Amino acid sequence: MLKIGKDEKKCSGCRICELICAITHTGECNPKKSIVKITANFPEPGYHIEMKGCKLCGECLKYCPTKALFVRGGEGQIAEKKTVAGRESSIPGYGGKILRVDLSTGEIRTEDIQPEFAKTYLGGRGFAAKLLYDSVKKGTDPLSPENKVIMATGPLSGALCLANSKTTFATKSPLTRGYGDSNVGGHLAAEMKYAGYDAIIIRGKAEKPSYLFIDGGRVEIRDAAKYWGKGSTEAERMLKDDLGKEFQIAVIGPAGENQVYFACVSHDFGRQAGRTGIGAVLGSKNLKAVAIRGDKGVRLADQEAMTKKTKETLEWCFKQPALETWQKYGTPSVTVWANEIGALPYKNFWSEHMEDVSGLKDEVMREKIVVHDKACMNCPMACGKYSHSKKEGKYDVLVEGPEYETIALCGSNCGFGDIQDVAYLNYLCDELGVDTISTGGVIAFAIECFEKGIITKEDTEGHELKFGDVETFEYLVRKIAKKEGIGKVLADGVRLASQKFGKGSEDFAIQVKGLEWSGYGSRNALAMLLSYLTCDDGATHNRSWAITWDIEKGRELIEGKAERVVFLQHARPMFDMLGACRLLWVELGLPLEHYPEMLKTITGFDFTLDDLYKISERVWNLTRVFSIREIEGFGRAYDAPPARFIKEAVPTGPTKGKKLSMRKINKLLSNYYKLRGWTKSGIPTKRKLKELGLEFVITDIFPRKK
Amino acid sequence: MIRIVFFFTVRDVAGRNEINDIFASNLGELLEKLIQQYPKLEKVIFADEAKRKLRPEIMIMLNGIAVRKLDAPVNDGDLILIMTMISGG
Repeated sequence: MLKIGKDEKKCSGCRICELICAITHTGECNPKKSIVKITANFPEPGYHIEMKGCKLCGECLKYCPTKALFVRGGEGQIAEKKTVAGRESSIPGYGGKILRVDLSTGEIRTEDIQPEFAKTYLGGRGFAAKLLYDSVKKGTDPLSPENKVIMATGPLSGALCLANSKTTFATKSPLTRGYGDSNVGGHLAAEMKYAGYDAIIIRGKAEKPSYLFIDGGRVEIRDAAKYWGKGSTEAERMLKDDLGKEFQIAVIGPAGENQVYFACVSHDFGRQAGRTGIGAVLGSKNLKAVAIRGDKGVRLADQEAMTKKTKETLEWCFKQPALETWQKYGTPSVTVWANEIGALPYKNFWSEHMEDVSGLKDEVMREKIVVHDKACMNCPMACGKYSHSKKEGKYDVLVEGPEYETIALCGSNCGFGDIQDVAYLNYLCDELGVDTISTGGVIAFAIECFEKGIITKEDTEGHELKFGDVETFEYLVRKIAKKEGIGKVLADGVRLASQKFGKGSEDFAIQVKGLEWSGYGSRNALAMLLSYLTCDDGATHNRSWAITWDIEKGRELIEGKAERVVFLQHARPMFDMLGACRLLWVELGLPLEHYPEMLKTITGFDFTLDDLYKISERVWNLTRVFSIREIEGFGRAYDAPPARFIKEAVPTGPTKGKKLSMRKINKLLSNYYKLRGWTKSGIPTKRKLKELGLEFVITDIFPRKK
Repeated sequence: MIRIVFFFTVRDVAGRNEINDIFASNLGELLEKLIQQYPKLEKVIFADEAKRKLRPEIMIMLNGIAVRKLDAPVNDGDLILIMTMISGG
């Protein structure tokens, strides 16, 4: 008889074992039917593995990516194969419903997902963008009840598919006044699917602090008085204690309640939908959290093919030399490399290199503070690093992270060189519920303003603001979260803050379209620069991470850069539509063909990669049009870098002496617009919109002449 | 002295961040000497060990410029970064 060993210290919480157990013994793709139960201990580190009633077939052992479950001896019992039809859903792979919630009236209703809609917009970001475009009227104030927050999961989520639990949140952003979306990993997308929903549209404003309770078909708007004012982690813990650990929670912190423009949505004790201020919009609706649970399996087109393909893919992952590196270090392994190639932001992007980065190294982080590796659902990489700061007093905290972007923006960009300090700052941002990227950018901006005498001790209640000073960061982030004093101005982001401060501060407000620049200095990397300038959300790297293309092909070469950026802007957001994480592709080299193949086993959709890129292009143009519709004059003028990058050469490091020129920027943009089928002003042409099936937007951006 | 710095999986497999005790006249020779010191790197760096074809995800930067040709000359004072390429974000 098989003897199964378990080592909870190695468990990353990916729950692949739950899904394979359920499929093996019940035929249903539904972790609630699993005999194995994985329970998270967070906010304390780690997981608990329960195997009471285990049938000793040994299937889960073949899938465990960390060997937390292993053979101690004997042989497995052959499991009787079962098949179950799965939940009622018109389209395999999908939950089948859109949930509409009106917090003002209390109205809650559902509608079916139509197959044509699913094939045209796929899911996740695609659904979110289309539903947002249709449901938000032109000119809506982002913080008014008329704005919407869309949550959307993708067709891969909830199935037995690796790294497949990404939820997209979309809204009209208070920070940029245009299209805004952000996604979060963890377990939320899968649970939405098990509850039966592919998208949730939230409108209106509750009379008092509330949370949305979803238990399958039972949906209620509940009182959140006891959670309001609590930090994100504390509120999530309380909700799980009250409702049960099976509930997956999306929650805002005090910053979201106070409608800080870069407030985020938190989930799973350390994951965030960080960018563009989604948390502020939820706060404006008096919505503290969404708590969701579902117990229906996913209906699949070909369960056997899906299971076989996932097993083969997992075995492939195990053979990749890079897997172990990523399991050990996660994204913090980028820090030293980014510094070595002259991309690490330092002191508000004054430079793109830090003299001594040794205290921020991933190996130092692993040794000093990491206590547990944490995975999103079905992911073998477990890139989440749950950490204990190991400093005394109030600095003694547990936090997931810091990951690279936080190390870059809250760390080196704010002058910090000690990973333990950055862990504490990460904790502050997470509890208060602010995006670490925007917060690091805003605080670095404020410190520079202080150094230049643009703001003084009169504005900061006598506090001196300094780079590399934990008390400076803590003072400012708490003021921002409460929107008090100087925090009231900074809470609107660097673009608006610099307009209020004036005195030349606009030059070093490091943002595009109002969104603060993320972790890659690009004064000497023109493809990466173009990525930042043309990203639909603003200055984020996520859509098109092109910096290695610059290194490979030539940093200052213009030719070929637009082509690379356009390809990445279709390929990378494809994952956001599928509801999957792209790290297996980008870091392990999993072939992109895997994804349409996987999609076919789950939904039956027979798409090629080019078909998926076309859908991605459709959504790219739709989000562009949303911003054109909402922001007067939106176009080329908004695809512009901060003045610092043009006026000031990088002062230190491998890219010392480099700065941008308008001639190069204009050439890059012109090449890009031409490739995209846009006008010279950066507006999608009618021809391009018709090609993509977006005729319905034409009158919104090309008004009929009277 | 040629300074060779490792990143990501290359660093993890070599077990150190950098070395500076290899002398060579070209990249191919340098990689051979490197593999003699760190045999486990052979599978990480080369896709086809017999033909000495670099894995597609390997990036080598010589004084800030990406190189893949094994006959690329190297000189005293050069900085070489060897990494498994990441695609970030």
